[in-house]
Amino acid sequence: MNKGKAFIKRLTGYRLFLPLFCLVLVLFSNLIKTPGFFEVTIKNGVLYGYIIDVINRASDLVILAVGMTLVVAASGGTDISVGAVMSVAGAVCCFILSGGQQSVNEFVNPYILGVLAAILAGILCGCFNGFLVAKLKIQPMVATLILFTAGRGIAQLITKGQITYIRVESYKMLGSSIPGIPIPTPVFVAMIVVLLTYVLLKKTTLGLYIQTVGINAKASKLMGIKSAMIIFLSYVFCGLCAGISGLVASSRIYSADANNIGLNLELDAILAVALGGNSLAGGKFSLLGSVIGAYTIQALSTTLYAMGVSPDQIPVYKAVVVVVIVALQSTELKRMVSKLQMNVKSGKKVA
Amino acid sequence: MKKREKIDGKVFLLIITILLFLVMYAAGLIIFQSKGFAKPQVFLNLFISNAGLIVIAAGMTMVMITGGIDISVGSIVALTCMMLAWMMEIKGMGAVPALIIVLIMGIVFGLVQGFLIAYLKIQPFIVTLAGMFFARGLTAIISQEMISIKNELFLKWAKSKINLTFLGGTVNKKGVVNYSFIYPSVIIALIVLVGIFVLLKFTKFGRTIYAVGGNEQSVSTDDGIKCQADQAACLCDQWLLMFVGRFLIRIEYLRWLC
Repeated sequence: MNKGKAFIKRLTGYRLFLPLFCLVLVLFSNLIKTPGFFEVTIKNGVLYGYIIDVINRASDLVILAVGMTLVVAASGGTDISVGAVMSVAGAVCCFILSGGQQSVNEFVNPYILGVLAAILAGILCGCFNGFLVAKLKIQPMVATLILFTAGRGIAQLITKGQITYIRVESYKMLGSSIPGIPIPTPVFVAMIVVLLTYVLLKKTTLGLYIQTVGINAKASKLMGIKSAMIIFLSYVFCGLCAGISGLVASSRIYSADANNIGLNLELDAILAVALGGNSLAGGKFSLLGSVIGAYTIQALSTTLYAMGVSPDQIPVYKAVVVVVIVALQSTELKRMVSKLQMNVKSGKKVA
Repeated sequence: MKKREKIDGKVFLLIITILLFLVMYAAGLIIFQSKGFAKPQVFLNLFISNAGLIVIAAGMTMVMITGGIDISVGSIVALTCMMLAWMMEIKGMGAVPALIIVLIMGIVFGLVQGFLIAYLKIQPFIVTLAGMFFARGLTAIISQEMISIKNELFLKWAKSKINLTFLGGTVNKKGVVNYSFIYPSVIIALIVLVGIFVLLKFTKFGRTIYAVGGNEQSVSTDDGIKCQADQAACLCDQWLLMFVGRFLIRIEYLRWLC
């Protein structure tokens, strides 16, 4: 019996236990209502099924969550402009590819130019945010609020208020699938982004510095770490991620819809980071945790859709689940529970 | 020679905001003079249109002083609107019971969020974000279509003008004297504003709020102040205020609807 208890204690001691547990819980709650949830078939040469849909649609969110994790870890703030930056990146890409027209059937400029332009747009937005937060020391939420409000307007300006369509087969490949490969492309993109970021964080001192700056920026500065530069870089990286995510999202609908690309995704990204067990106050972070959090949120949405809940009402369930998960992860609750346990034990002993 | 005191950072920002307001108002006066911008009613309209916002901002100030944030207010306004409309039109309740229920609902919302933030120490952003989603979803669950309010008492409150005769009136083309007017909502907003100001400046509770905002840890180790209870309490009060703000915004919406 003791071995079992020790095992459970070790299992629950892992940082990622709770996020993983919640993800598994959400996925398995599907078995009650939608027995066919885990079915995977192949249609038109592409994997098809609820699970595949979750993983596919979560890719946008995963990429955003990766960038957001670094921002939260380094500065304890949140970048709420990512949705708008996605929209800007998509608009820039489509603008370059269509040469300013509203709908094209072939690329006016090379595809790679559009991709690079979108990524550059994301980086520029990140630089703007980073400058405001790191150099001017403006509160992150307020600073990113600027692009949050103006971003979609800028995207509208670029697309001249119209939705720009790129009706070229190869453009759609990024958002759906490359012929011959059954796994949807966004999944690959997300995996590559996560892997590259992980390597960057572990193989260079960047990961260590971000955590240091996040825990105590002043002390880091005294130690000789350029806190401002690290914070600036984290916002630039977040902008980069938003740019990539914008590319994927735009390719999914093979157009640039300035109003709807990435709508409300910034909130989901922040939720994903929180669900991953990361403290929103900054400091130590777990990239894998955020990724798991992103999949959890997407799984939750898809689960609810599969159960037939109307899209307007989904936010209610999302809110409740998120609060429950975050409350479970809060250290205060653990303290309360252990206090309760101690009281009960001591009560029993006295009695 | 007297030494000039350095202008405090906070005061400086306030001065800039006031200056900006004056500049914009002056610009309006100059550009739109012919279209009646110079009437006192224009100034009063600022208060009429923003009465709800004033109340919400007053409550939000208290929250922000403690270092938190509440992004759920907008959706809770919508939720309370929808609940009022639903209760009065579809359930056929009177205006007063409906208002009281909605008041209580606002307080409950605040209590729950306050508990999660103050006692479970969850980040305010997350809790209020969830609150926002929750309220938005509930609004959609109650009704997907617009419900217009036809309750007479409510409409009477919404439309009752308070004429400020001392500001003088203008005679319009039909020979009727039009006085400058405000709505009761403005009075409520001003009362709340003054009330919050007094609360923050002159009561122990108010000073504790500032203290918590300054440095929570040192407050909690001070035996004379019960930090947690106060923080939760001030968070709850914020919601109370915020909900009063929603109430006013409701009245504004009504005016637009009619």
